[in-house]
Amino acid sequence: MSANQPHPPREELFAYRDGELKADHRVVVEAHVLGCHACRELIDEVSRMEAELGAGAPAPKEAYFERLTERVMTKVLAADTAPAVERRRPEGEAAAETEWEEKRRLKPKLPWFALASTASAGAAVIVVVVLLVREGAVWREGRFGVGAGSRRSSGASFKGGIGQGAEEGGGQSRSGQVEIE
Amino acid sequence: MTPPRPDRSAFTDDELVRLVCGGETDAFAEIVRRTRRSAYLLARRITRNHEDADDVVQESYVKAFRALDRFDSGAAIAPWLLTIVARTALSSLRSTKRRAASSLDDPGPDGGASLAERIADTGSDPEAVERAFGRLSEEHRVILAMRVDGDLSYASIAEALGIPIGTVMSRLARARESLVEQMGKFRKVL
Repeated sequence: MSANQPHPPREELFAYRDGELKADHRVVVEAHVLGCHACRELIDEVSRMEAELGAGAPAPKEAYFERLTERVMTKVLAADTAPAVERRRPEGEAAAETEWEEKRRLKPKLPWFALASTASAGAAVIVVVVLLVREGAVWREGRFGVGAGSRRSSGASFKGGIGQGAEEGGGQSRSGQVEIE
Repeated sequence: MTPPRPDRSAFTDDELVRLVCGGETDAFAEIVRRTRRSAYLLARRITRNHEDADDVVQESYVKAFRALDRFDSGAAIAPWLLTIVARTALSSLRSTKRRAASSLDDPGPDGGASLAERIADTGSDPEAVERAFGRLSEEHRVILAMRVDGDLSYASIAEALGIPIGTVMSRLARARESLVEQMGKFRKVL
């Protein structure tokens, strides 16, 4: 871009003036501005206006700023505006607590009703297991009685399988075994 | 009566921040001292009102104090603080709706320098620019104030306003063009 080329966009021209352009781009815009009277005029005009704007700001006298500082310090020193507490405690203590809090915060939490449901389901499973065990015992007792008879016909191997049943139906069992053997 | 604070004018920003965060809260007064003028001028320019500017500055320093442990060490404290001031001033501007521009001859407490004194001091006509500035839209006034009074970088302005840097560039350019245009009208009247 040179003085004879089209003017750079205004935002780039002002960014150049503000020192906000990156080096490679700045060189290009600068090359144009150095040879372009209109762009230099615009930049100068803006600089002049902003200087006047800054100069025209109605700034209070120093005494006001001293009072302002005291008011700020009074607020800042108030207990309820204490700065970050972690920075005042020993670093290790603060860090450990922060880490613990972080872990606690990140740990997945179950809602109370989910916990209650889980507990109920667990209790139900226990009840069912107990019932099944008891049923199983009853079934085994009854089954053994029936089985003793049927085994004779089926020849299923209950040999030494259930002591109690074997004891109770010993004669028959023995006869069954004999049959199988 | 509070005892005089130790002179910490030779401390760097970083050292002051470390002192405050280490519990020496008094060191914050030096941070205030270094930035209070810019903070006030920026707040005043955005709110266009001394009382609001005063409130904004105090509130901003309290916010800055609370957030000091998040200050990026190694950076200059003024842009960080002025970003807080700009945000607080904008918030105040939007909530109070008190946007009546105050006259240049109403410089707040202690009188300040009179308009005549300021013209004599600077050799310029600040009233003309101030009037032209007053005719700009709120959006343009705010961004110009952040640049002129706060001397904030484009990145700091973008952060404070929550807009991309490209938008800062274009909005600032439009604001300056409007100011030039307003000044042109003013000069034609003269």
